[in-house]
Amino acid sequence: MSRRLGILWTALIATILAAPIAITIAGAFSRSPWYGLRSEGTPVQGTGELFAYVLGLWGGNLLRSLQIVAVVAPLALLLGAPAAYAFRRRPFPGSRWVEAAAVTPLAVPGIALALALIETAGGAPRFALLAAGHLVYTVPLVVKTVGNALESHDPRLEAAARTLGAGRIAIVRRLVLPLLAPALVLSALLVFAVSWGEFNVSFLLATPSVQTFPAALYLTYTTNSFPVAAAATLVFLLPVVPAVAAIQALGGAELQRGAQP
Amino acid sequence: MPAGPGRRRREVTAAAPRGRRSGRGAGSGAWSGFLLALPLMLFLAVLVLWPFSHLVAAAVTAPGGAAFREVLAAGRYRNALVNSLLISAAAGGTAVLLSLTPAWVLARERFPGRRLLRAAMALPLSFSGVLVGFLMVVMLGRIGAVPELLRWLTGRGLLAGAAYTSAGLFAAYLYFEVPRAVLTLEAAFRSFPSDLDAAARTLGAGLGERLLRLRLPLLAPALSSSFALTFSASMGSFGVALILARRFTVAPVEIYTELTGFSNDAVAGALCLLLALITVTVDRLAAARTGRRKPP
Amino acid sequence: MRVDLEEVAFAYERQQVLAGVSLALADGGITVVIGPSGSGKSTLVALVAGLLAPATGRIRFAGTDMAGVPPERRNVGVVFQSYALFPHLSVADNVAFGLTTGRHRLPRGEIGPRVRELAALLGLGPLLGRRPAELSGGERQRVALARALAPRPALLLLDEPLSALDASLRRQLRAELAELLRRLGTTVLYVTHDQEEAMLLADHLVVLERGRVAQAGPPLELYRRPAHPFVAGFLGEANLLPIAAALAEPGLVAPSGPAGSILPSAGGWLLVRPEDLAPDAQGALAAVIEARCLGAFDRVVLRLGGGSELRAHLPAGTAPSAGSTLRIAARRAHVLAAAGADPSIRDGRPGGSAAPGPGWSLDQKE
Repeated sequence: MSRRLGILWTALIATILAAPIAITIAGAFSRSPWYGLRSEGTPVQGTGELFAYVLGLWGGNLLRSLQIVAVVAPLALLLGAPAAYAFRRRPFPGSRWVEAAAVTPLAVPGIALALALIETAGGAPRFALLAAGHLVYTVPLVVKTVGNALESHDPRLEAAARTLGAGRIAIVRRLVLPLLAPALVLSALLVFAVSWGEFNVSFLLATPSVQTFPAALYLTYTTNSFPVAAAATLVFLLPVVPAVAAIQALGGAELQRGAQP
Repeated sequence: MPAGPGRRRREVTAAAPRGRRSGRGAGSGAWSGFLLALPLMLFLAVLVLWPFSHLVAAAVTAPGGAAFREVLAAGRYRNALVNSLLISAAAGGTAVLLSLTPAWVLARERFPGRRLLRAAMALPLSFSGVLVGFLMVVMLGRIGAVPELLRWLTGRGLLAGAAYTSAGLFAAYLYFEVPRAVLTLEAAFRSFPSDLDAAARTLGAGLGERLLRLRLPLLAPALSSSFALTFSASMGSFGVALILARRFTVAPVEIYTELTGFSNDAVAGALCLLLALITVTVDRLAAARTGRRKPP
Repeated sequence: MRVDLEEVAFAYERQQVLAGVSLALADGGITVVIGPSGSGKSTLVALVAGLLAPATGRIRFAGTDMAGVPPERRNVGVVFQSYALFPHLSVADNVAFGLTTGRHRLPRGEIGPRVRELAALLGLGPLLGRRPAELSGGERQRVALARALAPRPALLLLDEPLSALDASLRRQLRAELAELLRRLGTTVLYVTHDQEEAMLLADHLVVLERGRVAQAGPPLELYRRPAHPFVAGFLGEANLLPIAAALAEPGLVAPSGPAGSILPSAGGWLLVRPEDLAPDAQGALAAVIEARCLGAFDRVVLRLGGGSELRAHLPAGTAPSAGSTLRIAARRAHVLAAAGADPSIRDGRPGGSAAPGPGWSLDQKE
């Protein structure tokens, strides 16, 4: 009895969480500028034209976000994965503190980081600063994900490989990397999901020529009509929903720490 | 708890065999580890430590720490901080309470549609803050879905514009906090040993007694770390506040207005530092409590 | 308290874990349920404790049907295989837990003395302030026992309480446990897969196989006169020969004897325990394949003229070396009349099961 109540309550909460999205998606496909931020008429009529309009306005931002992800994802993996391996398999004096330090940036508010970056390196190219900001919030996720995976693997596997004559590089290539592959894929997905929706750092670091898509979202929410905003939201969600589904399927608990809202 | 394989595993790692035949020889394990982690450490030093120490220096040296004094004394900035603290704490606590049952159900019960529910819970985690703000306006803005529905039902304009009140911000915080709390707690609940409950039952403890004397004490670390996570996420939340906090102010928005509106870098910097200090401290405290079992 | 199980069945995810199990626990007696893993032993404990409800059948405590009665209100103490000690409570608080809940709540003043009483009984005195994580396996086991006994349950259930311990500790604790349980006089249901444990502890032994009772009775009875090959092999090392093969070895089994003239001519097994084989001048001729001294006795593998292999336990140091021959005869044998199944014999332990049937025992020299 209480079990059933519990399930119903959970379903209720899930519905409340899903309802706004459902309504928004419906709004992207409706003709009338119903409720929302502004109710001035839509400049375009058909659904297809609506999306074309959105892409026309914010296509550059979309591209920029993709560029950032393309740069940040490999860098985050390169910085985070070897370090996670070091923390778990080759600890050195103080490595526990370094690991704690590696995870701490997740708690730092994005605007604070943005301000700090601007004050110290304001002259650097904006793209580089943006990438740096995104890295700060994604590298810890890689460290945690790869770290968790390593913890669940038997460290004696590597010792066994060494007794069978495998050298260091061979061990990494034939044992460590294949075992870590799911964790690396999961990390890449997490980096994508977090970087795609990152706003707090990106907004302050943005210039008219270097802007990410979430900044575009903000502008549509404050200037455009509801159907346009809804359409832009849909464009934003399109890549992220399958990514999150894949993350859940792979058991990604680290998403809970992910995007800073 | 009996020392299971996990604990033994860590001991093996610490005493890993050092082959004399392998190239670099004994003792190179820690050195290679250091080298592997070096890029990360440099990254942290250059992109996090240095900018923040720069910020600290700037805020402290500016006319005798005036910025800090101004922040802590003057009404406007203090209000922003206090607002942030109050709403974040309230939302964090409420989110954890609301999440208790869903987390337990998702962790331990099997039923059709479980995967779907879990996916629905997890979805808001990837949303940008601005998106959450937007959704709140869609639901509770001046002509939001809920007021329109109520107007249709009762003929009166109830809740219109509720999104822009502090209650609206509170609801928005809940929106992205409940999924975080549910997922964090789910992991802890799943690893709760089920035979303890069975043992307590055979010793005569009813459900209430089991909740209070068994589950609560054992899960307290997970609960507090969940609270800390949601609290610090709200404190640092900017996008949501930017859209919704119109008639009052919270710390992140205040920072933004000081920077862009008044070019008051010093005050903005001081506010940033205080905010970061609060969120990082809370985060680390919670991590320390659960740190007994896993590294932070 | 007398406990009766009537045709209890339980299924889990389309697997029939228990199918029509009936047994009776005598008041004050120790009943041991023994069986291989997967036979449903732990499920049995959970059902009697009330943690699971039987799909069909009834469980009665002193005649009262326990259907619908949750574990909180049954007067049972359970020692779990994993001990399930509460990690956040000290040993003393663990033991006292059952005294502070529900019906058996004791007045404040009486809890301390009762805890100390149990601590004395189980040798836990110096450990009272410690946490479970600081204890060894044997110590945890005793705390689990103390905790279960504290509320003076009418029935004590033990689910493989010694299986997590190493062999020497198990041997030591086993004897202490047997003595303690007999002294207490509580009705006990003890579940294990260890045959020595079962023989030591049981007043009444029940062999469970794939959810059914294969045989039940006094331990020695089951050992000497198993109803079918599974029980024979499970309770100890067994030589199982088809009757025809046994009869074809002149001298192995004396054709006359108390019941010896009534041997079935086909379809049956002859069980001879290794310790019941002894050198005999008029015995069957056998070649010694292997001989090892195990300390307390010599374990010898013999091959008879017809090709059957026997394992014998001879007094230490007396076994002839491999390659020589020996004349061997059975001092005691038991006939199982099996219908149908063909158990393949590996190392004396049969793999299949046969319908239980009456057996004849041939006590040759008694």
